[in-house]
Amino acid sequence: MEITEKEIKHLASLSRLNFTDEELAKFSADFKAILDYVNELQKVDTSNVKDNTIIRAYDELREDEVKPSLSNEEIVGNAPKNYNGYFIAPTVVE
Amino acid sequence: MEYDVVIGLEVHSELKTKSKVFCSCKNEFGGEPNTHCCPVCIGLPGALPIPNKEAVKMTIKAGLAVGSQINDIAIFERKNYFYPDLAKAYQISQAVRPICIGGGVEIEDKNGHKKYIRLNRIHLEEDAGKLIHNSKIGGTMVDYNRGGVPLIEIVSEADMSSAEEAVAYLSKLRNILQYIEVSDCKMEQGSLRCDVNISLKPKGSEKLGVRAEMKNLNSFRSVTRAIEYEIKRQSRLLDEGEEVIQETRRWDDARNRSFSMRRKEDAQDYRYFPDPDLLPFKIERSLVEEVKRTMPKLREEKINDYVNDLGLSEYDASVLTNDLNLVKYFEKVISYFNKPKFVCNFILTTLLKKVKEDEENDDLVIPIEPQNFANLLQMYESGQISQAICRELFDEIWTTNEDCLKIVKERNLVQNNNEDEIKEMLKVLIEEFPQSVQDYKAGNTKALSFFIGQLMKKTQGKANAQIASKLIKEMLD
Ligand SMILES: [Zn+2]
Repeated sequence: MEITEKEIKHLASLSRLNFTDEELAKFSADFKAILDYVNELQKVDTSNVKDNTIIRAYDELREDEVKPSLSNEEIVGNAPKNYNGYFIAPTVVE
Repeated sequence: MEYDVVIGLEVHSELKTKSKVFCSCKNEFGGEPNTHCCPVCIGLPGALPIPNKEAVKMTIKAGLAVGSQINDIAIFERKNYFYPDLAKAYQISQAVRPICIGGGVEIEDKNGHKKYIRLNRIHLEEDAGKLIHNSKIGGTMVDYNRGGVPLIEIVSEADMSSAEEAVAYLSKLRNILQYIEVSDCKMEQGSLRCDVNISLKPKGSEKLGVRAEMKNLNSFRSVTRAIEYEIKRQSRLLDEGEEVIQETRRWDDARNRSFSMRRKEDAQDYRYFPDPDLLPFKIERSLVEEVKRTMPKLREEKINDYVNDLGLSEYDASVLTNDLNLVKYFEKVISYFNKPKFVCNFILTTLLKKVKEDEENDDLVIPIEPQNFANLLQMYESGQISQAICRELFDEIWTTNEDCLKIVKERNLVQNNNEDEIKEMLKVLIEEFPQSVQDYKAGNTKALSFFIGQLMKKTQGKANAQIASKLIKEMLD
C-alpha cells in the first residue's frame, strides 16, 4: 500500500509536527513498512474465526464516587512551564 | 432571490454526576485551577479510564426522554485532534455506536404551530479543559478541572428553518434536560452550549446548499443573532453569484459578527478509532427499564397537575413550568403558604418581571429564600400589610433577603384596616382639598384616586387601599 509524502505532511501538521526532508523520507519508508505488514495480516482467511471482541458488562463500570484528586503541585509540577497553578502551553491560534 | 434556510444543532450539555466520566475526580464548576485532576484526566501515560455508571445512565435517561432508541452495545472512540484543551491530544467520544440513536422533540411557534425536530443521536463524551490566552506571559494558561467532565452531545437533523425555531428547539431541550435532572443547563457557566450548522438553498430547491458551522454559542441571544447574521451573509454571497465556502466560523458576541476559523481544506481529520483502553460495553434491557421507571415528570405532566390539582389556568401553569428552577421555587413556597393561585399570580406579575430586569443571562436566579417570600405573601394576603408595602418590601428583600416579618415588626408597617380611623383621615382630606371634591361631583372620577394617593402619603402606604376606596366613594356620593 502506498502512502504519499503529502499524506504524511498532512498527518504531521495535524499533530503540529514539522519534519525535515530527511525525516519525511524516513517516515514514508516506515509508514510503508507498517502498512505492508498490516496488508500481509489481512490476507489471513478469518471467515471461520469467531468474533472474540470482549464486551464489558455495565456492572463492571465505575460507581459514581468522588475520590481524592492529586494536589495541584503534583499535577502541574512536571510540566515544563506552570504559572499560578496553571499549565502554560504555547498559544495555538485556531 | 428567496432562499430556504436549513439549520441543524449540536447541543452540548454537561451531566451533573458527582465524579468525572472516566475517573473519580470531582465534577464541579470552577475551583482553583488544576485541583480536580488525576493521571487519567490529565492524560498521563498508562492511566486507565473506566466509564462512570451514572453518566451512562443519565445519557440513557436523556435518550428515553426524547424517544431515542438505546443501543444494546456502545463503543467509546478516540477523536484525535491536537489542541491544548485536550491533555491526551484526543477526546474520548462516540462515533459509530453511540448510546442513543434517533428520537425527536416537538416545538411550537408563537401561533401554536407544531413542528417535529428529529434527532440523529445522543452520545457521551468528555469535556475539554479551559484555556485562557495570556499575552503577558506569552502563552496559554490551561486548567483541566473541566477536562473529563461528562458531556452529552445531542445532534439534531437539519430540520429547522429559522432562528426562532432553533431557539424553540434549544429551550425545549434545555427544559427536558433540567426536568430529568441530568444537567443544570446553565448557559452562563457553559453547562449548555451549542454549535449551529446552517445552509441556504433557492426556495423550493431539493439540492442542499453548502453549510457553515457556527461555534461558541452559549446564550439564546447569541444563537438568534448568529443565525440571523449567517442568513444575511450567505444570501448576500449567493445573490452576488459567489460561492458559500464550507467552513467553521466562530461567533463573537461582543462584535456581533462571526469570523472564519478554518476552511474545509484545513478541516480537522479526526481519525476516529475504538479506544483500546475502553472495551465496548453492554446496555442490558433491564437497565433501560430501570431508568424508565425512575423517569421524573416532564413539563407537560406538571402543567396537567397544576391545572387539575392546584386550579391554575393552563396559561399560568405553562409560564410557571418553563423553568424547573421556578417550579422548585414555587413548590417550596406553597409548602409554607398553601395558596397556589395567589402565589402563582404574584410570581407571574411581579417576581418574573424582577428576574428579567435583573438578569442579562438565561439562567433563572431568585435571591429571596422561599420561606421569606412565603411569609411576605401571607402577610399581604391576610391584609396585615398593604399592597404598596408588600411591593416595597419585595424590592427590598430581593437585594437584602432580610427577614420580612422582622422588618414589618421593627418599622411598624402593619396595615391599618380600621374603617373608623380611615374615615377620620379621609374627612380631614376632604376638607383640605375642596377643589377635588368639586371635580368629582363634576364627573371626574380621577379625583377618587387623588384622595387615595394623599391618604397613602399621609400613612406611608399603611392604609388599606380597598377599604379607603370604598369609604371615599360613600362619603362623596
Ligand atoms: Zn481525574
